[in-house]
Amino acid sequence: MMLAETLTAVLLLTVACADESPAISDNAPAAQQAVAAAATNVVATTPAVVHEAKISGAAKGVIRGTVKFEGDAPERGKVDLSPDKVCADDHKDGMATPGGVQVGTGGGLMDVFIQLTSGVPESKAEAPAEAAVIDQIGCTYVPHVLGVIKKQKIEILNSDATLHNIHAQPKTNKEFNLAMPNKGDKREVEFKKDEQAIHIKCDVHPWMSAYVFSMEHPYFAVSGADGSFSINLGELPDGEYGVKLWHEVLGTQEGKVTVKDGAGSFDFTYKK
Amino acid sequence: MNSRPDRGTTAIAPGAHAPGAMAFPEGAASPGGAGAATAAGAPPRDGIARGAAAQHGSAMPSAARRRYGAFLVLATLFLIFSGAEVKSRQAGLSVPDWPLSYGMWWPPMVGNVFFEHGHRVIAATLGLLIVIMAAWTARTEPRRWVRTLAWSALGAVIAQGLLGGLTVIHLLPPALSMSHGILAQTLLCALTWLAYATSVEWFARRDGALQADADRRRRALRTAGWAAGAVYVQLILGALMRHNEAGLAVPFFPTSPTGALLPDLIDLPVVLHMLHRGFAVIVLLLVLLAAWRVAQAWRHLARHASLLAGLVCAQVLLGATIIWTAQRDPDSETAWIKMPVPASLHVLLGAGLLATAWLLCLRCWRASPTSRAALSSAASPAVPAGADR
Repeated sequence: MMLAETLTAVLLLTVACADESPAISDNAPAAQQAVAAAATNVVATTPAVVHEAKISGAAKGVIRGTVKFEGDAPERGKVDLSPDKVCADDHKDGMATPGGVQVGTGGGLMDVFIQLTSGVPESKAEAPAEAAVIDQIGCTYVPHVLGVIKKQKIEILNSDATLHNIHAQPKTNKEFNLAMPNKGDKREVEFKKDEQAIHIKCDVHPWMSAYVFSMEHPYFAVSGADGSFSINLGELPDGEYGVKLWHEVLGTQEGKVTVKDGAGSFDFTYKK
Repeated sequence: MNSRPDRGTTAIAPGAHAPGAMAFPEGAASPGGAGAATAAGAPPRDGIARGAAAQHGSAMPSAARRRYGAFLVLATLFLIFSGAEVKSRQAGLSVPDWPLSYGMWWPPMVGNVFFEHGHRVIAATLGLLIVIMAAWTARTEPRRWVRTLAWSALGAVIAQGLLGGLTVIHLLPPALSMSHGILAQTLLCALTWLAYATSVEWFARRDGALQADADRRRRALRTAGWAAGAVYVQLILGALMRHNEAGLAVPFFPTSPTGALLPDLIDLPVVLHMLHRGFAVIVLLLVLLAAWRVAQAWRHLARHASLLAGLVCAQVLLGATIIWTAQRDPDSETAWIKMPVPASLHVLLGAGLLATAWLLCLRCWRASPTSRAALSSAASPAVPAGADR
């Protein structure tokens, strides 16, 4: 009996500690899961992955929601992979153009960047020590949309047996274009200023593109394959906050969310 | 005192020149000195070439050098086309480093690396070929200005290589990219001039008496000059438009489906685009006028003038084809995607048009009384026969 009570206590303590742990840890498995999915050539059908916002500090509240798409999704073209045999071999059945309007089961819209706008305190978030990761794998970028705190390191990997260049085209940050000729190459970069939707491209493989949001605050998320997302609020008090959604094709939308008792819910539907 | 033979009124190939007409039978010279296509050491085919060779003996560049000059013009056109492909396919930064490519002399030619590294290889090869031409000219050419022209071409190709490297290192700033494109066209003009200066036609004598229609010829020469200048300006405007991504800023031609000439929003790309489009009308008219006047003034240049007229019409059509073949970007509400091949061919044809117009201009000048008068007054006793013409 004593043993059972002790075990229960330890278990409860563990759970409690887990709840109190920084949400930053949530993101790494998610990214890794996506990378693993891509590694098995199923980039287009990446399982539902919610890219959690990275928050330094306690995660006390959370906004959950889903972004959906209603209407006829524009057809995603097939990429001509013939210029690079390595890419073609990675996708023997062909590859749909990465990004674009990717609608999952239940109408969920993938790769929407959701961020809180108005109502967020002015205090500047510190960049997490852990680097975010962009992998070049199967001649695509994983993830396709990424949010980081400004000055946070971004580790760029080349997991392909072909060469890539990684070319960032920011408007206010410093542009860079780096050579990554070998499989296993790693580069570390950062954006020093906050900036929305920084386009990343590979000029060798023109279909490869990704977007990075360099943020002042950590209240953001990227919708997964089922359109769901959650934003950890940390110490953010209850109240009404502005929400901005961005999608590379469907554009920007805005809304409001109310956080009460540390929880908020926000669903949105893009229509076309 | 003048060691050069008098070029005043004597036709060097009796029987080849109709009285009152210029001394070049059609086909005696073609772009790049192709008219001098007599085999090295073999007797020239026509009277003009035979006469020129006999008259100028040691000063006349060898057939091999004449052919080499023409080949360089064609090679430069190929280089310009490969550069256009780099831009059309957005491959300019697919190799991020310079002068090496991914730290290698020969990277895997995958994806757009094929276009960018391929362009570098072609450029390096042309550079080497121009080094040979400059050395060859310096060694065998008695005319100082021709030697200077050859060295200038070498300087231009070196500067061009450096500009190309700078565009990569500085991530394609429009000003550098434009300069790179414009210098390429200037190099093409220099090489065209160099090739023509070594052609048989350049050395051929004309029946130089001022004819009754000298005024018409002067007017034709002037118009040809204006036309060549206008084509050059148009290429600058084209580069300005292209390197500011304004090629499809007005995605319809000649009017929109609703009949509008301009899009609703007039911004800088639209202005740049319309500048190129508007000036194209001026170029078209000027070039056609020049072709007409030249053909009227010199019978032996009629074919060249017709070629120029054909090229300018084809170029306008090709420009419109870029618009007509553009496709909507499925990932954007407003963007259009340009098909690379028509765009690259438009650049190539533009360069060909410039070279053709410039060569016509030079040929008119050589055939005009102005040229003869200028050359007569510039004669120097120290210059060997055939030199400094």
